[in-house]
Amino acid sequence: MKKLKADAIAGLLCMALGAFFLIMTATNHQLSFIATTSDGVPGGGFFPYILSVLIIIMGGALVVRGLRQADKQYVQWTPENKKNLKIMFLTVAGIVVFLIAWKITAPYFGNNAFMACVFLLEIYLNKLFERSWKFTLIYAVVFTLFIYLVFNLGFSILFNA
Amino acid sequence: MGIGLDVWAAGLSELMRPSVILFLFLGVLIGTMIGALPGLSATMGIAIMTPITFWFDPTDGFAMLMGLWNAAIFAGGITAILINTPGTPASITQSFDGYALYKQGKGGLALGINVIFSFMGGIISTLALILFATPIARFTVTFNSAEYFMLAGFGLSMMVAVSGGDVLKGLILGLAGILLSTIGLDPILGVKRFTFGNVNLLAGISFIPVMIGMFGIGEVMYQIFTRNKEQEAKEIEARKVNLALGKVLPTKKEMKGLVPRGVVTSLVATIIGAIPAAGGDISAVICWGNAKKFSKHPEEYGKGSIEGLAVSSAANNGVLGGAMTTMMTLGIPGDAVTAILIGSLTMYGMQPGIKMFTENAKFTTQIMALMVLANVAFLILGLATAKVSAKVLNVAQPTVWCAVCVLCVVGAYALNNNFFDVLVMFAAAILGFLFKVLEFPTGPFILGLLLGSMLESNMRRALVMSNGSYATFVTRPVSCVLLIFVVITFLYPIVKSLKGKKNK
Repeated sequence: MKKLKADAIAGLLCMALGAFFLIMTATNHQLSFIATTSDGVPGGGFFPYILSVLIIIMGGALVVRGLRQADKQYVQWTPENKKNLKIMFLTVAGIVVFLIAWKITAPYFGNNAFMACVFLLEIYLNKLFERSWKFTLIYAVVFTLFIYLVFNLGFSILFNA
Repeated sequence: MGIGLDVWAAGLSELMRPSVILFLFLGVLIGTMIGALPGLSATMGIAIMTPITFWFDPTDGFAMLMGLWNAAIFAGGITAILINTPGTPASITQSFDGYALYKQGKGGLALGINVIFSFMGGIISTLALILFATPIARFTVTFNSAEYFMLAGFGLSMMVAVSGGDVLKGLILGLAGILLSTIGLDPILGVKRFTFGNVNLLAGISFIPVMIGMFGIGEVMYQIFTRNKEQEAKEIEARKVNLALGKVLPTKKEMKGLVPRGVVTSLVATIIGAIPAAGGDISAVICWGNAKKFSKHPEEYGKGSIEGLAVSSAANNGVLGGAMTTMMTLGIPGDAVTAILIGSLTMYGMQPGIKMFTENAKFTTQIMALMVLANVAFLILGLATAKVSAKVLNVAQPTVWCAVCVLCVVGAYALNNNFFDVLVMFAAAILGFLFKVLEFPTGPFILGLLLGSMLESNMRRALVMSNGSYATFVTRPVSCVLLIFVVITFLYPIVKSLKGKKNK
């Protein structure tokens, strides 16, 4: 990812964030720049208006700077890096699936669903990081047991999402 | 106003409970492991452990956090000495001299120096906290909304100027943090802002899940992304090499030469720690560099200088008391850990600032005393276990990553038994990763999110009191001085950059 793209894209994202908040503020009649109750005193929209405009301006400055600095790179792409990126995406995907599975199964199976999801996530992550099956299974069992003993029994937290 | 002896006595008597001592030592133990494991930082440890401590009595909870924080910073030096990899960013300069000493067969002495001078830095900065916190807090009695607005602005400007090399990116993230802090009910008029009909957003974005996400899963994602197996293999080889450690304690003569430098470094580090965003890494680099300049043997620095290692060790633990002083008296965090501690105090129903020295004075004395006890605890534990500490290093990074991912989910959920907090944590993790990859400093974002509400509510309150006159910010002396500091802080990097261009 060349800095040219990265800074320009980051700047554009900042501008989009600022524009989003600006539009949301402008379209909400309750968020006025000046309060209607006292003279000259800022209203609920004062900070959002100023901040979103400033973010748009500075995001623009970042885009311009990104376009000027074309020679630098954030990440030197190597085969190892690309593999790392894949593993990172798979880690994030695993956590997303874990959260969805927990949310869906919790109403039916309560806290047990969470414990089962933790166990499966630990197996998935350990295998993703190329650990042996023996290590993976021992780790998953011990860690799930630890969560159960400390949080369920110790702190009486029920993970009924 | 001030903390009387009776309050100190009442506070200290509660610390004598076995549970407090137990949690303190548990915190020190966990902190030592966190600090000694490359990839786990004190911030990550505190972020994950904070929600867990909410289930304890506040004193027990803070005992654990204080133990963890102080020990993690000291233990970062263990990996710096034994495998040339700083366990925390604050231990960067300890690897310069510590690893060289280890290779010379003086690893034990290096570990001993690390423990003793980390203790010295921690104790001196905590004494400064005890001595100066009350007068500073007393000074803030005269503050009203205008001063608090300027104070929050000053904290943010310092964070932008100090935390990273890129002021523009820091500024954008600082503003984005403040913007996100406006989500929820308007602090003055009670109007709903950007809640999208979600009741979970009425109270705003929870700060602690954001910290857990950014410094937990976000950090794990970044470590996976930047993993270098070749480097890992080298570190594994380095761990296998068990060089003789030798003696742990320095001689009286060695100590005599090191103590004065340790004291001066600790005092300088305390001042650096009090500056928002200037953490242990900045302190260590500044102190090590200056100690080298003024040393009688500068040529030994970086090649196994005991003096260099002592200075580095005192410098990184010395910032903690300074950071706590700013946090407890002004409500401005000195670093990421104190930012989480502010969130933690808020969860306990306490507000950093003057009220910590009036309404919650007893708890304040306990926090200060816990800082002292944490230092004593890691001194004992550190000296007793110096030679076996290398064993802690034999944990592979993926093992840590698997645990951190689940602990972040559990910690975020345990805060309020709310799945929404887990989603906030996860979103913050993605953001934290992107910030790191795109070289955006996270500090200003965190401070913006934390101080945004203070900034907005005090500014608007000040304007209500002055009937909309902005002159209130310049006519009040303290507010005016702070405004000048804010302007200087923002202008300095610009002037410096222009000067640099002119010289080129």
